Amino acid sequence: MDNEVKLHGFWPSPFVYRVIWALKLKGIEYDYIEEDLANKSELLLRYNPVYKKVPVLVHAGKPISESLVILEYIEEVWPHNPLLPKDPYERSVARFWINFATDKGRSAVRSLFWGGEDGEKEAAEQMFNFLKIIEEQALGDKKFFGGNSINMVDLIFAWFACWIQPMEQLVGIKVLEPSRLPRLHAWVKNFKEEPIIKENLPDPERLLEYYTRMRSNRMSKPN
Amino acid sequence: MDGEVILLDAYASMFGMRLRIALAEKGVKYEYREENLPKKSPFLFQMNPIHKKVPVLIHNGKPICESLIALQYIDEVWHDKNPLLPSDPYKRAQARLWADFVDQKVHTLGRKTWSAKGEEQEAAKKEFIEALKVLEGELGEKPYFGGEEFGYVDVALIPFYSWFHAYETCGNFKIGTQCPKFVAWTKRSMQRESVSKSLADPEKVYDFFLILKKHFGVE
Repeated sequence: MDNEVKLHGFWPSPFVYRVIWALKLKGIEYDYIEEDLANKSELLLRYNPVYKKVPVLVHAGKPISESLVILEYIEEVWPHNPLLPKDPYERSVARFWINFATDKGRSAVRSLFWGGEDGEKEAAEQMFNFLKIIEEQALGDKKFFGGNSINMVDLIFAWFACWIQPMEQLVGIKVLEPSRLPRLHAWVKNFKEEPIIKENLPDPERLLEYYTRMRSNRMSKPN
Repeated sequence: MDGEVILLDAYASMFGMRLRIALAEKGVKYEYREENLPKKSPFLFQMNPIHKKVPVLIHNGKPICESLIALQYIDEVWHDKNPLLPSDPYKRAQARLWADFVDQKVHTLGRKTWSAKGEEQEAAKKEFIEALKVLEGELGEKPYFGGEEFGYVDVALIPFYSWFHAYETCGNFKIGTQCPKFVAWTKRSMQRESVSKSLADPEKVYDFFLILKKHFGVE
């Protein structure tokens, strides 16, 4: 039986990286297929007909899409080196923060980095409030969201560890100020120093170039 | 034993209905507490300080917010009776994907059919029907989204049926005639006691919806 694992991805995508990290943290061998999103492969469209997006994980020929669904699948099929707590209540708390990051985090990012100069001040305040909640209630005094080791919540918040810097440079607004968000700032440093994470990060210069291009394309479009 | 279970809810909330159905499917005894929306109680603010929304499931004093998270919690804690998620990981992934589709498409678009105006509203109505047709495709010839058994996606989706009357009246369109397979599935699901006892009456939902509309300043 073919138990091969394949991952269809796109190199700048933080959603794809979540899956890469989960697979590597669990020591799962996989083949990576880079997709050109401007020119999606037949296979991708067949595997994910509803959303047509990456990442798509293919296990033993069966496709799974949506990064959060993929992560839960990986956790269930390969339960060693767990990424979610065993206790149902603790697990529901982890899922709550994952949901919060996905909903509120995404809208805060969108307003600040893609919203344009009008309302930039409000968007920055909205982003700070979001991060303050994360720092105080989700992270607290822990080293990682998962406690002493990384878990799924850390993988979801990784956007703020690794993708925020090029955005901050582009917009000229520093969001993760060490003086205002000391614990979150420390988490970013700790997260990026974890061996599996350190060895699997997109090149920051290439990322900046990509976002610069994307932002100028978006901003030049008429409303 | 079950422990102390409280459900903080609002009669017309489709998300609350999900949890009512799940708790009934599992035969869990719980205390139902109605929130008088749009006015919210201090207790709700205490139990869900971040989102300040219903439903909140409170088990032995500990709150679980967000309906799909609470659904999974209920399924995990009371796992021996009427499992909602399948045991096979691949089938579980598909169930999660479709439940997410319900939240992203059915809920968002359903809301737009009454909150949007003009062209935006017309587009929302069209996309809403399309989303139901996609779901019809996924259902296929199965009696339920869960297959032979009523499951996670069925629980996530059926409460929206109680809001169809409100959507149709406000949006001036008919859903049933365009999605007959979907209607057949709703009738089948309504035969389950857990569903018929948990779903809000469409007329009462419409009355609540009018209050909500006024509250949000939509004409």
